[in-house]
Amino acid sequence: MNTHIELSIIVIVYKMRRQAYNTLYSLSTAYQRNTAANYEVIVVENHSDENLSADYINSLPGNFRYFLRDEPGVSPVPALNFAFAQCRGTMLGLLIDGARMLSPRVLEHALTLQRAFDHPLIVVPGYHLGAEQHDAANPARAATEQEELASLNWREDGYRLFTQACFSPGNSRGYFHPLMECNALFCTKKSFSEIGGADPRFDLAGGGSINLHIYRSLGMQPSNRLIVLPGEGNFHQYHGGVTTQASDNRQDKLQAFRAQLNNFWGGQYKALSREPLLFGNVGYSAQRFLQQSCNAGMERFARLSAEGKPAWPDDDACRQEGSGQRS
Amino acid sequence: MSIIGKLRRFAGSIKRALVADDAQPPAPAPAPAPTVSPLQAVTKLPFAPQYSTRFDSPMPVLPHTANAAAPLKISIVVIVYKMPEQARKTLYSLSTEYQQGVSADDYEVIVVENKSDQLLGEPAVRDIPGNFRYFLRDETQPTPVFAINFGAAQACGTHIAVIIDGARMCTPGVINYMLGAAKLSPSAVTAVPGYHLGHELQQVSILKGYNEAAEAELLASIQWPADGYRLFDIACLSGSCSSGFFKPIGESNCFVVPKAVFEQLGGFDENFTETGGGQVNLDFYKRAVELPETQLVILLGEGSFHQIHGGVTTGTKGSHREETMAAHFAQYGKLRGEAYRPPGKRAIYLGAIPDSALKYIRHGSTTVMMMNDLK
Repeated sequence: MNTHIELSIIVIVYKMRRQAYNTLYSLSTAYQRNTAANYEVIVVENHSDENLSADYINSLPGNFRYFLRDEPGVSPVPALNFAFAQCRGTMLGLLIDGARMLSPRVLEHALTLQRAFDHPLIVVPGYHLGAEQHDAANPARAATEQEELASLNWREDGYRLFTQACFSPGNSRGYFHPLMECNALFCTKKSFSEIGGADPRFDLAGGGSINLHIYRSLGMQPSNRLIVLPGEGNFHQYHGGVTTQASDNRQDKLQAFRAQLNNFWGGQYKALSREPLLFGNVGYSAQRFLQQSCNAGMERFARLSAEGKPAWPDDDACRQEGSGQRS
Repeated sequence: MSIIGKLRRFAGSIKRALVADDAQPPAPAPAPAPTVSPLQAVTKLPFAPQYSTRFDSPMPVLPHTANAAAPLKISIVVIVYKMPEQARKTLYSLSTEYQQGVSADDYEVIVVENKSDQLLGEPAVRDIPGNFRYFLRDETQPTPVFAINFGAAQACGTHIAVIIDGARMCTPGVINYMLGAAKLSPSAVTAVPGYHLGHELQQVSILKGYNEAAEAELLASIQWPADGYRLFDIACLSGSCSSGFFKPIGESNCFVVPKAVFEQLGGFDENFTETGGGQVNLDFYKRAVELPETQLVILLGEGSFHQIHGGVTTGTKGSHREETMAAHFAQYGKLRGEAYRPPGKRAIYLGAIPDSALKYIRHGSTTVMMMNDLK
């Protein structure tokens, strides 16, 4: 095994075997382009009746390390912190939802950017596979989705995933609006340590809004530079997750998550609002999302300008605390 | 024949039928002369540039490298000829007072002026904040190519940027991002997209009366230089990237290459002796981008903005302009054996996008989707 690891990517898995296999393949050196074997994937699974096969994971090209845990609670936070303790790289990737596949150059760009920026916070925009967001989809979606993926032959060219996707709710208006969260983000290991890792008080099902909390916490570190990869994506596969399946009490759950999150942010959580730096190639399949982002962004900027409000208010807060925005 | 012409002919035939047999039919009204814009006219000239709708297939790769042993420094060569007012603004836009996130240690500006009866002069450069050097040359040919290579020979930096037209003001992040791109890749060719001040290309707007006074009013309307990104509000895309930057662009009027690349290419080709250098800037851009080891980086949120000044391609009109462009294309064709075609290498994009520039990103995205029938 290659011991010179620059990047450690954490993937948390629970009851999503078929989806996780796709996600892990999308992290393999067979799929990720232009990378050497200088990264590792830390797969941490909480025990269920649908565990992954360790043999399958070990057969994937690349540095995969698999851990199976008994988790008494309903939150992935302990698994996330356990995974963090295993990481050997100086750079960290977080995929708290193991059902999210990546496009082929995410890791290449993350590794490139960490050479040029001391404190990059790299954001891969989120998508849902299919024409509609998964909270509106019916449970039969899981089966049809796997057929659609097979027909796309996505393993041959992961950018085809853009052709069968829509924006995730976390960034439904694109990347010139503040993102609520990021399901595939990269930061320095030091940065994650400085925010205390994943806060164990997020103990609701699925971790509640832990992902939103982590994203804002990292983003509000003044030295972190927010960088968005508009030509890349993380693609959610339908798997009956806590917030991505239609259910009678979904709104109640979301309200509970929101209330818990607000408690950490003075009673009023707001999405991180820092100016993004864009980086990367934007292929033709991703252009419609760039166009949508531009349309929504222009409306937002026009509204804010008319109201006399700044476009990225958290930049001012961060400047007051420490270093400036530009590299 | 136009629709109006057809209607008139039809109306004429009806009228003739109503008139007595021995009456003289009225002469049909002449059809209106077709309107051809100056931009359309030049596209039909021999060796007119050929543009493509898509980048080449291979995805761009930034080569991995260890951290640079020596600090990076940009040497910006700016060529000035008969444009004192415009050059002052351009050079101020390159000052440490205007450029953000950089210091005088990060770059130098080498101003090379070819002598004329409208000198900028050394005193105008002396007090600009930053690291400026000025050279005055006696140039006997109507081309800037010798001045460019002279300026590059004075460069102390690790990278050489060329602004062949000193009438091009820049946005405040150009140098910062050039340095950023150089950190990302040791072989980056970093290009700043081009714009014209005014809401139409200047070769068109000058026909409608656009002039220096109108331009001064535009700049005053955004209180330039208070916020250099407001230049996007009073501009339009240059002809070289009129379809945006998500397909091959014709050239960049402010771009930087590693010094080693500049030397490897032998500088700007001194055979380009037509007025203004003809297509020498396009030629160097293409040769640099097409080197297998280079990587094209386009700074999405930055721009160079052309000021009106009676230049060769933007200040000439009518048949004079067509003749000029024909000579440029012919010289390129003679030197390279074919019409100019922009390099098809895919770009990596880098930059934060000011709100004022977002419309250009959208335009580029929409255009490339339409051209390639993407949904």
